Amino acid sequence: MRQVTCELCPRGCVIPEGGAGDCRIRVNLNGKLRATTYGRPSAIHIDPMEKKPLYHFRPGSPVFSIATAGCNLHCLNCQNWQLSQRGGEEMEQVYRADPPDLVKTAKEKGCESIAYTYSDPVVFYEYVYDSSELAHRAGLSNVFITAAYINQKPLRRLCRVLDAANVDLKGFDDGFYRRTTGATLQPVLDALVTFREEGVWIEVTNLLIPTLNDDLAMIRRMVRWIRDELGEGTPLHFSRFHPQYRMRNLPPTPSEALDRARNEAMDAGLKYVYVGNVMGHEGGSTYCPTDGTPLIRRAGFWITENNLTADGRCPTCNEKIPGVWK
Amino acid sequence: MKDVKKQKPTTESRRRFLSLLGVASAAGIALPLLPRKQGPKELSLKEADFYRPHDLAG
Amino acid sequence: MVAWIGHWHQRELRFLGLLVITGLIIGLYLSESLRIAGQEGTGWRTIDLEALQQRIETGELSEREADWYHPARPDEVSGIAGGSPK
Repeated sequence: MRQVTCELCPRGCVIPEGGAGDCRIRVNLNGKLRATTYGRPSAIHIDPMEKKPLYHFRPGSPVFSIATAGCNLHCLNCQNWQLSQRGGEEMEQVYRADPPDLVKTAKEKGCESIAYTYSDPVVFYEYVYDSSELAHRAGLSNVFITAAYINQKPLRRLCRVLDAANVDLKGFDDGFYRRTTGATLQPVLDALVTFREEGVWIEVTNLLIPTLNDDLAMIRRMVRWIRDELGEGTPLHFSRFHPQYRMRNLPPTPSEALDRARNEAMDAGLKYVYVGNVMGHEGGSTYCPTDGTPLIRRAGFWITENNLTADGRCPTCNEKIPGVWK
Repeated sequence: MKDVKKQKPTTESRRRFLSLLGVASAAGIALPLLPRKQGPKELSLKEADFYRPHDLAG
Repeated sequence: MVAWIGHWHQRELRFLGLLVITGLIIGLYLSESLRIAGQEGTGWRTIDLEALQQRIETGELSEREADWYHPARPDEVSGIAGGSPK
């Protein structure tokens, strides 16, 4: 039995011949590990950048978004479980989209970026890396929407070809991580610091689940960590939970809980704190942290007003707003 | 009311029951063996509807 | 009681034996499942290998070799708590 050890994520799966890793798509065939969904995405869409959500990275631009089957997390509330909790051979459809075709099509469709998203792109690492290299050569940006459960070495290499990442920090308690996602907290925190060190633009999303991770003390610890380790200019998105998959026993997050979390984060000194999955909430727009001027107003995923100057400054006080605006 | 206990199965009814059981067992064995398309349907990128509304998060 | 058991035919004994075997199988299955569930991330899964290989042969899935792996070392193999799949 020629077993192999996968070094990609902290699970470190030891996989016997004919078996797959915990992610279902990295398979040991005759003693070699195969990336079975390489060039075979099962979801391809063109979304606005705001959907990722990335609010400080090329706002309003269309982004060519892809995902293959598989994931190395098993969140009880997964919204994309039909994609993430299956192997490639279980999918109803796959597209033949090797990296050159992918980049060519993204360009033809007028997209400025490619997003590796929906499931966790960590598990289709090789596909992301090769596509991202080609995308850069073609003048496209690469954005990575992830739970960041990845080992340091592969992440550092991947950062060479990434431009932006939205990291889903699911909570700030290791027990919560283990119970709800099957992962652990520390590697995610390490990955966030690595993204910052490697100069990848990062925004953080935290899905607030009633009674599980909406404790204000936990949120306070989390936002202070973000402020101290990633910087006060790091955009943070508090997102509303909806009952999904294996977590249908809890109600959607009340708007007040999102407001409390947002206030806590702003009190801790974070400058750009957003509320997601709630239509018409003022926390969906960007304001100047110095004088409160509305900079970008949004309705859902759509920008209704953009007052930023061309170089990303407040038109009233000239404050430089962190982000990638061109 | 008829006394069910006294109604012994006739040879014919027993035969009918056994043949029904046989057919059901044969179907149970044969169904998984029938040829069927397994796994994903492959599409080229040209067939993708990039703007189709979807509810995938992220 | 003894007299009652004495009346048992072989048929009843066979049925009792069947019940005991069934109980044993259920017990073994449950204890094995609990053992696997209690393990700290056994780390691999069984998949429909035949379906996967068919898909690879037709080109619907890929056999591109992955980066970031190595042949398992003896200490890693012994460290996977019996090496049971998820």
